[in-house]
Amino acid sequence: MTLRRHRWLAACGLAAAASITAAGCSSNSSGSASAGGSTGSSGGTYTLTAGVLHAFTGQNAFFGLNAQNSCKAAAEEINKAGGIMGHPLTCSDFDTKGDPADAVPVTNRMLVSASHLVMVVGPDGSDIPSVLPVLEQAKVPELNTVGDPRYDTQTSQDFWRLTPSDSTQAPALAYYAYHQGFTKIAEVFTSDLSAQTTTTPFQNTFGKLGGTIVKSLTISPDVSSYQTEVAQVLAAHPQAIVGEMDSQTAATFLSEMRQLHGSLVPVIMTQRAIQGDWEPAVGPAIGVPTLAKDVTAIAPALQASGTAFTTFSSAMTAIKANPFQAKNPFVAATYDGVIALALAMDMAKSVDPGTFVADIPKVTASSAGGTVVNTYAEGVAALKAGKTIQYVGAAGAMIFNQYGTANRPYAQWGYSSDAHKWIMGATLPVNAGL
Amino acid sequence: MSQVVLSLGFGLVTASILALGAVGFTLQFGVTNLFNLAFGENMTVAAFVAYLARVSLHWNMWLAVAAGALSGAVLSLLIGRLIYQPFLRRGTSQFAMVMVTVAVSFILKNVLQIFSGATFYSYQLPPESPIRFLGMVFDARQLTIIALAVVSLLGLHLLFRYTRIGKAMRATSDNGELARSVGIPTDRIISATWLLSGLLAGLAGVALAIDLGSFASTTGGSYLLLIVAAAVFGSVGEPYGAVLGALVIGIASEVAANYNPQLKDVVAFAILVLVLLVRPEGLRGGRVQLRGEVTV
Repeated sequence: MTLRRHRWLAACGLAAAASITAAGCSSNSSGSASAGGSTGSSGGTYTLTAGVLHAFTGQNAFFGLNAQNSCKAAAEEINKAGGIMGHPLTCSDFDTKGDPADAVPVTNRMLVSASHLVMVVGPDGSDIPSVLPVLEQAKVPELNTVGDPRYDTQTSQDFWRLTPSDSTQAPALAYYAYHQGFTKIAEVFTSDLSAQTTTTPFQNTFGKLGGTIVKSLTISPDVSSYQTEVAQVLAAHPQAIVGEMDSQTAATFLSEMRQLHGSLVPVIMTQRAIQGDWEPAVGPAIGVPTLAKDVTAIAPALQASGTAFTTFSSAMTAIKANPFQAKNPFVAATYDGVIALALAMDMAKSVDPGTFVADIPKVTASSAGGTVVNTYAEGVAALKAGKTIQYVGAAGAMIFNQYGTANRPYAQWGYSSDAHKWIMGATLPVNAGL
Repeated sequence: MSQVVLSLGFGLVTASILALGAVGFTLQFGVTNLFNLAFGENMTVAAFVAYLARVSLHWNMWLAVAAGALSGAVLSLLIGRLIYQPFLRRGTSQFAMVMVTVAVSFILKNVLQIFSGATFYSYQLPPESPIRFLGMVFDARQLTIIALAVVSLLGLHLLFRYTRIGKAMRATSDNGELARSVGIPTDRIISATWLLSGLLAGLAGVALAIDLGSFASTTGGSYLLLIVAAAVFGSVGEPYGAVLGALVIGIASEVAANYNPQLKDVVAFAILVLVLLVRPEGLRGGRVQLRGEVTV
């Protein structure tokens, strides 16, 4: 009897597994096309989904929180303007935990479960190598802000990088350091992929400009002490330190430097420093006045005023986002990306990704006689009037190259101890250091 | 040469934190036979309690350290009594028990993250002047961490050697059944062990958070591997071995960083593997060391 029951349970289990697999396969094979296809032809009003595929737990959880609010704010603006051809947009979170091993099953779950999935916001740099092939197969466009130069010449139609590659960030970093008068610097980068992609182009550009790297260190992230490494850097007597470190590493490294040296050597960091987790970790560890005085970041520029920025700020306030996110160029760029894809759907008159994906560059490119629009509502109105549009959003113009990357200028960012946030300073020349 | 001497000093600070954690971990294993992978989260909870005491309640740092250590002790006792011991009484296998500790670790980490958010915290301690000593450089806080470790471990040594409860702990560690048969209240001794090992976890957690400058809900867990390495190096269940393991791993990793910072963990774990190849039971040969000394 027991054996029979076990067999029966096993048969049920197998049947259930087979049906789940079949559902997964069918969703994977048709993917969003089925969602888009059915939505495109069936008429009526239904909710479209933007899948926010990011780490929401673990050390990189702030990436997910940034992406989540970017998407929510864009959906707020789109829905306030009547939705995409009448269909409201909603953002659904899918937690990759920042672990490539978790990312693929979560992506598959998203593809199976998300209703009318029209776009994916994410993933981040550690997950994208494993996730991108799955999304490509499902034909869902994804919006990312990864810096990895390996994607500089990628050819996928579904890859849309909203911020510049690290291969342009590194020259900007070298350009800024050299033009600040720092000709002898120490470079300190953590050993993770996102930091390592910056080192070689940085060394090449800084050398070409005439600068000397007196000490070059690659450090393991998140260890309990960097005092030996700090002592090595100080022994080389650099005029400044250039590098990229995650928040915990930077907090330990810089606080130990301040302890050993009595003060900080000027520090120039990549865009990593203006991410939301950096200041809460580093500020208290080295003191906010020291952070404001001695640490500079080189990160993509942001529009600080104008209709696009005001609309973005209002949407961020409406969704009760963390105030620092409204001043973050990555949040603004992701918000712009969602709006641009929505406008592409309006232009294509379809929510089928296979159809509207070709219109993404058309709504963002600069063209003669095109109307510049700064909000989703303006874009929809212009499209209805039969005009060609260029969407210029909160992060500025977003002109994609043939490889799906939007190159933007960089700016110098400094931390304001009064305002308690990163403030954008001077914008660097376009293609600085290149 | 001067860089190597500097590293020795830095290694002492790392070793002190490691020693506090490794002795707590190994003591817990020695008496309860539990390989507790939630030990790191115990450290993190203590770091957060000290943060609340220091930053929210504006207590001085000494009181905050005490609050953190006590919270570590209480949490350890509660988890030990309410979660681990019911499993142990039912004779759950050691492998299954490890999985229970992994589950507790996940639960604690995620609950901490719910309350703390995906952000970092710091005790916001002011900078200290460097103190030079024999070519090494410390600050007052680091010297305090070293002193805290020395005093705690010395106290533990005296407890084991000269007190009835310490001797009873050693007897329970050696053979629980035998200890019970000679009238040792092993249940209470195990509770005392949860408290003591939790206290050490708490101290290690707060010391780690001070040394790092800032910490998050994942900090203790990410440090656990080094603590386990130090404990295994010196024979799990053997407190003096854990101190030795902490010293070797702490100092070797800092000295290795002079040659290549990425060698830090490589050297530490390579030494561990080598020692285990030569002496599979660890450097001090496990609880065999305690057996000969037990006289209750």
